Amino acid sequence: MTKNELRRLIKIESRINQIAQEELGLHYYPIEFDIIPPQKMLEIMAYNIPTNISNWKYGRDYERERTIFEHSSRGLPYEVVINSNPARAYLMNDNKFAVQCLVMAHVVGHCAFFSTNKYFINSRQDIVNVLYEASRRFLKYEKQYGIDEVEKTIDAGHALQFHSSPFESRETESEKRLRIFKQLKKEAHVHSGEYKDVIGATEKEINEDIELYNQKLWRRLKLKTPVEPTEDILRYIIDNSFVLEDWQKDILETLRLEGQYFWPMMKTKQMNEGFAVRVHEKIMTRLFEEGLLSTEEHGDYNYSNSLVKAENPFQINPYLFGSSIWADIEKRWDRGMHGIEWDECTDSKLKEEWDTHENRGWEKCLEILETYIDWFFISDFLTPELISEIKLYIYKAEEALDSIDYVITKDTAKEIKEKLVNAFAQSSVPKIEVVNGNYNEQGILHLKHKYDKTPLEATHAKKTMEHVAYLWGRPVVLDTMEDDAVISWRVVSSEWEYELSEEDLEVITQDLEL
Amino acid sequence: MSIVHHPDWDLSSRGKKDAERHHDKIDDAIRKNVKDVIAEESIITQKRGKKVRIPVKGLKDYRFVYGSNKKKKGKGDGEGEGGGEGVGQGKGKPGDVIGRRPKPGDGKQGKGKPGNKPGEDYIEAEVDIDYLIQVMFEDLGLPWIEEKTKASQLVPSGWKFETISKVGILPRIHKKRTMLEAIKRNQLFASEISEATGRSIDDSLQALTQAKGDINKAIELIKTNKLDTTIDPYIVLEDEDMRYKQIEEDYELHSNAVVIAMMDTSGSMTPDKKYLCRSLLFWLVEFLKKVYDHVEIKFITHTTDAKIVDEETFFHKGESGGTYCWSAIDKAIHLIDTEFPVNEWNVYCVYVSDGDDFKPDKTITYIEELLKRNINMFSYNEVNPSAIDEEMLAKLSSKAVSAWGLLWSSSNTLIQEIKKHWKFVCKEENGAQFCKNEKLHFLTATIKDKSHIYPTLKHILFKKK
Repeated sequence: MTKNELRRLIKIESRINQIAQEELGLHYYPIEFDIIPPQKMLEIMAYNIPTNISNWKYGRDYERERTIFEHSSRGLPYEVVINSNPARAYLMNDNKFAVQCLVMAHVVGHCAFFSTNKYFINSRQDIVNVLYEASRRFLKYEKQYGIDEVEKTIDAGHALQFHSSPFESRETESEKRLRIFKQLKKEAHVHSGEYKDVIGATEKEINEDIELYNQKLWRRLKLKTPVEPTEDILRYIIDNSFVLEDWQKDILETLRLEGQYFWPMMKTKQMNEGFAVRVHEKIMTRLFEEGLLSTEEHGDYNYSNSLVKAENPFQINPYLFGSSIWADIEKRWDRGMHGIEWDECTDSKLKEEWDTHENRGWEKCLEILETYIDWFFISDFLTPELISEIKLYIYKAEEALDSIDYVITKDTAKEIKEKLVNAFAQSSVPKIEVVNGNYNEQGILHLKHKYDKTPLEATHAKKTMEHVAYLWGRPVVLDTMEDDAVISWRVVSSEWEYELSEEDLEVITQDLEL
Repeated sequence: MSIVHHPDWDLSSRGKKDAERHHDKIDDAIRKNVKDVIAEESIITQKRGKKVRIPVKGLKDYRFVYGSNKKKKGKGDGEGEGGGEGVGQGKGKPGDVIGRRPKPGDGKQGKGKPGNKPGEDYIEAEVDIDYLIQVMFEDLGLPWIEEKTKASQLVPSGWKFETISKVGILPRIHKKRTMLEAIKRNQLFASEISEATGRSIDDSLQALTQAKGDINKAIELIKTNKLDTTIDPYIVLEDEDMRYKQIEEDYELHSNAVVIAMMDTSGSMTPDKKYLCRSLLFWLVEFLKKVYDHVEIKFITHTTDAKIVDEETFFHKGESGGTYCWSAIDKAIHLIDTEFPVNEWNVYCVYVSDGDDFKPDKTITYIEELLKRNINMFSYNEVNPSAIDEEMLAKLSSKAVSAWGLLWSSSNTLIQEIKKHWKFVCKEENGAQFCKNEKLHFLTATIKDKSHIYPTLKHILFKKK
């Protein structure tokens, strides 16, 4: 990039910010852009965060990004943005000028999303530094404890890092115990006086009885671990594992933090990308109107924008899908195409020309921005009309003579919506709880999958349980369901010289061959 | 707000380093799946280089995920998880096929083009052919190799220091020999001094040391009684003591070995079959080149007529026509008789064909003739990919496998004739059949599928002295 180009880019940057803040009413932290070579870009994309720790998975992703880049990337506007204060974003130095503007405007959209959506409230704003410090510590651990052990711990941590929520309660285990004790005590107390007259017991006897009950309850609660089932598997393991060393706990804490940073991003992928596309389209239109970019650059922009919003026959493209819904919302609230009157209208001609001049479209979008995540968003705003308009379909694999064919099903828009909403409601992280850390009085970790009609993939589950067992140091049992029947998997590592007795095997209903 | 340009951003090698770590892990995977890797068509068709790029499945990171666990059809190798259903976007009406891919594990080569369905992520890994060979053929080698008495070949095996000379350069000084010479000369001088002066040898040495090696001066010192008896005598080095190493080319004596690779290129050889043949021979040749520094490899192709060709032609050109298998054997016999007599050479013959021979009887007599030559090994490999469908095999119960044997024999190929004629110990492995006759050093293999290539190579290249 030449000096002149850089000067021009800085000028456009301030115009972009003006448009975003004054015309679109967006709020966001200041953004720092770094212009970097492609190799660095690919590396950052693979590592998600430029200062991330070292691990073979990032190496793999780096090669994958590089392979894609080398084979098919022409004109693809690569972008990475870090949710921090100030926000950090990266521009690839051999992108065309119009593409740089596109990416900058797009990043503004993301940053507005981060700082407005309530699910990002608890995100660590210093994640870059946290990971930077961690990566240095982990390198030391590698030297001290060997790369294999460190890698095992990191792999296990990665496997579990999304099994927590950013809305964690800060309650400790003993506080929890006390709370539950009080709650149960209260419940018991309410009932205690009910049959006083029938039994003919004195006040003193009843009180003694209550006291005895309370003692038993307390003792029972003290033996129970966790006091109540918890979804924060990693937290529970860090606090209660039989084998973890301090350095391993450090690794796991870091990865848990990273998981929490990415959690809201995963939950809002469609909304977030869609919104950023809407913002960059609006800003770019203004820049072209104002003549800040040339006609030739308009061509570059159009080409790149079409790549971003390309249809994928096998998958939903969040840039296209998300932005379509946002655009539809804007249109509907601009023209008042919502509410009872609209819903009850059956005249298609009337509907087509519907316009109450409400003009609240963008305002509505900014409202939605604050409180929604993907699955509410899709559930509330993906209309059957839109589904047919943007040509969504369900496909199924069918076995043909000598190939496997992927065929579009006859599902209606309504059915498609139902499937989509279900898919997004589950998101990609199944709900799994620690129900008992001392299963069968043998220190076995008992996990339970909250089954919701979609089974767990067995190979993945088994491998993940091996990770859990490595961290836990004792056998691990997981209850789940498939085809509405309860099944139970267990991992017993020979390393711990531990075998389940015949009786235990009966308790664990069924051992599925994996 | 700011924009900072970093034209020379630190390109740390972290990505590369972690990629290497991933590669180490892939290497393990390659070790475990070597037979899939070697069947990769691109390696053989590629311009010969030291490194090949092969697609490798990236390693997975495991998490709890949703997915169906229904039994997958076929081998399920290329099957993406839960890949049965999804939401897509674009033109199309119900019933339209939006993508298609070959069924996994239908055992047909040459059609292995990727479908247009996005499958699992692949990474192109750069792998050294030598490395692949090293991994694959650990503990393999030419069987039945013998020391041939006559005229072994002189093989240069690098350089060696053999002779010592009085002239040379300082770096090649031979310290021990030089010191030896110096001690010898010093002792000689001392005895001369002793003779001339009548003093003891020890005194003479002292005098010599004091005179810094000059014999006349030493004698004079003693005679003028200037000898200092307190000094320790040491050896004085002179130019004439210097000895230097001379380097020479080194030779080793090797047993001669020749491998005669024969391939059927007739019209009945479909692309599938040719691919199997070439794969098999490609790896055999690469292996021999790698492990044996000096093994002659001769290439013969035949239709109705056999000819000796070079390696390039052998692996890259196709022909068509009728099939006389005997013509190749005849050519091999001719080669052995004229160029590679068995009393001087270890002779290995490897022949690959689809067994669709016009004159099997004649071929049998020629093979007999060849075996009479007492060659080290004759390996006959028959490729027959269409013999039976993998799918069909799966449907047959284990009991019916014998019936499958019947099915196979219904197509009357050369292997049947050979089996009628000689006795073999046979074993079956995943639908391929490997037979061995220890006495005659006669091996056969019947293969149908690219997954059989590796076991076949192991079958041929078992090391046995």
